[in-house]
Amino acid sequence: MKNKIKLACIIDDDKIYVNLVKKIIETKKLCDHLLIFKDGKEGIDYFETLLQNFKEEQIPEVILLDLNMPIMDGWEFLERFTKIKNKFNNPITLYVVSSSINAIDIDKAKSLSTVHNYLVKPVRIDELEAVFNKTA
Amino acid sequence: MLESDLTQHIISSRKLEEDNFYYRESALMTSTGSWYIDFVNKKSYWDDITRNLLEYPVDFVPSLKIAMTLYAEEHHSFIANTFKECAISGIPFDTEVLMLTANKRKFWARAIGKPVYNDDQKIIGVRGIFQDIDYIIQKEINLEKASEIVASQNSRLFNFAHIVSHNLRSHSSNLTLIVQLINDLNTVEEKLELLDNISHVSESLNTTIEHLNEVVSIQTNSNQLKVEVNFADTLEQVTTSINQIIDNNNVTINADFSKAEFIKYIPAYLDSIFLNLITNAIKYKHQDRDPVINISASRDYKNYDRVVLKISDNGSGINMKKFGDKIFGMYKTFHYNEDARGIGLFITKNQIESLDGEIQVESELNIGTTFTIKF
Repeated sequence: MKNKIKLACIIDDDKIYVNLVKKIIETKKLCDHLLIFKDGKEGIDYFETLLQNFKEEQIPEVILLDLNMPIMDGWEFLERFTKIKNKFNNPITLYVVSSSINAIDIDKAKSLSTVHNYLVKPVRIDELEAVFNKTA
Repeated sequence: MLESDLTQHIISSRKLEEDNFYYRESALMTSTGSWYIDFVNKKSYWDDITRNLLEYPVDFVPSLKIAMTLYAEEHHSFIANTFKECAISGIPFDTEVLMLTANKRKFWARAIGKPVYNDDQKIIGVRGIFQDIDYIIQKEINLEKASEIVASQNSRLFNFAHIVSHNLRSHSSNLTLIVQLINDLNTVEEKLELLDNISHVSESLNTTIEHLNEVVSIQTNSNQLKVEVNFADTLEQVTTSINQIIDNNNVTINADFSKAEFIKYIPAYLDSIFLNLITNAIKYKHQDRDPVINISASRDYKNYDRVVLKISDNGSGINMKKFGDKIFGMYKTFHYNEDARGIGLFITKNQIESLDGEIQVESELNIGTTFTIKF
């Protein structure tokens, strides 16, 4: 049997979207715990603080990152996260999930090694399932 | 003189006359006047057409002393350099320059000049022409203006299309997600729980559409009647309407409109500009000090008709490196304030630009922010 993902992380300022994805994850039992940050700043703060002293179970295996957010957008998060991601012992798979269909955004995101893939909103339920199953 | 020589002479003088006639005709038709500056005798010579172009009397004798008065002041250093390079280094020129007639009328001219050498290859003068190209340049300027207007309208339209697609997309994608979930969930209770989400989406969708309507109405309202508006009165009105916020936050507002008291503008826009920038300054005040807002109006030093309004505060400031290009974007907020909607500055910028104005911002974290509006 595959290992189920224990901890996943959503960084997104759209409350409705976050609620819906949460609902899907709960209904489909895609992971045990979910971290939610409402912008890049909250997200990066979590990881940078974690760096100093972390337990394995505090490191999410999957990150779903939005691009357009107030305070700190997804791009800046990616820049700072890329600098520290290798310091966590476990691999973290990061997906950009954005409503931007701008080819420039998509190409730019996909060209980054930190970004595993780019999903365009609305995500489909089976897409989400695939994300969690593939990673697990 | 031999007969044949005489005939030859008559023929060549007739030819000369004929040539002269053609040269003169083409010079007249193209409004091209000739001139020569003689360095040896320190004299300058103009033909009739040059005198005519520059509106000097037919018997006017030009001199080197008046050389600079032939050009508009803003081109003095440019033309001085051009002539110097030609006179000293022998670099010929062909350029457009703003000239000044005897009657102080400005016009655009094409000026062509080249050095004249003596047998020892020393430069002894500069010879050239002035051509009146004012109507061509005026056409060019008008064309440029028209193209600027089209470009700015186009960029606003593009921006708007982007906003529409982006902001409506997020709602539609949430709706799609809800529908998917409704189809996927098994029990009626679970399905009903999602109704709440639908009402949230519809609320946000309505708000977005209201905002978009606001933007559209700015574009259509820009041909509304402009009237003479008094800055002090407008400020008074706005501060009265937000009296309570001002009192609660201990706000000090210093205003100086002595250099420009009035402006021809759409009154509702000026109200909205004041209201947005003042409430913004209060919303993003520095946590350690009471807000002080300085407002002043002046006139542009280059263009006296243009009124410049400055509104600066001692607030928390904006990180310009990070957010500089996003400050006026729709739904861009940079602070943790709960009431930040990210629409005010977007509306303000649209109102100002729809009336051909500009707004700029300077800001420093923990120091404050200054908005400069050129009407």
